[in-house]
Amino acid sequence: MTVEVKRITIRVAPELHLRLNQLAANQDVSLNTLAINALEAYAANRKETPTQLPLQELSALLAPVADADSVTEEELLRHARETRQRLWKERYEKITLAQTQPATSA
Amino acid sequence: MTAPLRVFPDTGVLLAMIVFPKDRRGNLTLAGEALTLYNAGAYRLVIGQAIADELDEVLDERFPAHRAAAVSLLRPFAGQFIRRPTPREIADVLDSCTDPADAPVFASALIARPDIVLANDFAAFHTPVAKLLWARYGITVESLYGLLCVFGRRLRKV
Repeated sequence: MTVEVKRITIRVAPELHLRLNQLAANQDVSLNTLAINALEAYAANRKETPTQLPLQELSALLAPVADADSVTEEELLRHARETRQRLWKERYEKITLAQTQPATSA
Repeated sequence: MTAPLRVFPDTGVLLAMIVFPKDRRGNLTLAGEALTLYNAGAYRLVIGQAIADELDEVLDERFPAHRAAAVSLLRPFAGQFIRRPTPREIADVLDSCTDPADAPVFASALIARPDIVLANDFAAFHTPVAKLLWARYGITVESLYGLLCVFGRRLRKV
């Protein structure tokens, strides 16, 4: 029976190459086997990161609340604008404007 | 197969998509159509941490009873958010902003390098000086209507 294998070639820094060789020797396996074990463990533990933001779920949560409270879009957008201006004052303004001041000599 | 367009939304359009996808009569709004396209995978949203910060504040103040649930829905995506800009990066875009409060968002968008900045705030994001900035970085700025034009759902107004 022949097991089909695929070949991959990777380039690593000499320091990593040395460390991997030492690890393989310690485990009494080849560098190839060490790499396969590491890749299999990575693939098994890798959790797929979701990419689609749950906007539909957020909408199902918040749109009925806004409707029940008669919140208008204009009102909410004005609130968002005011929030932006408040965060600018609280978090960003001072440290940003410090970047625009010419350095003063002692 | 080409990769889906990367779209960086301003807080206002994100809120509109989430809270006002339909009008009082139950018809889809422009934001609702944009949400439908997003759910269909037509484009990818790239969220700035600066946008997430604003969204969190608005949720806390306007939807306090539902903030925790909303935040828990977004938490798995926090690692994908575009980092907050540095003071230097914010200072560098100040001249392109009519309101300095927009500078952190402008700077976040430049870090994200999306295909499209999506904003309905014409006085802030669609000014000639702002458009020059976007163009310099190969970014297009679109309104919700403009986004629907990109996907052939509306015709450009001449």
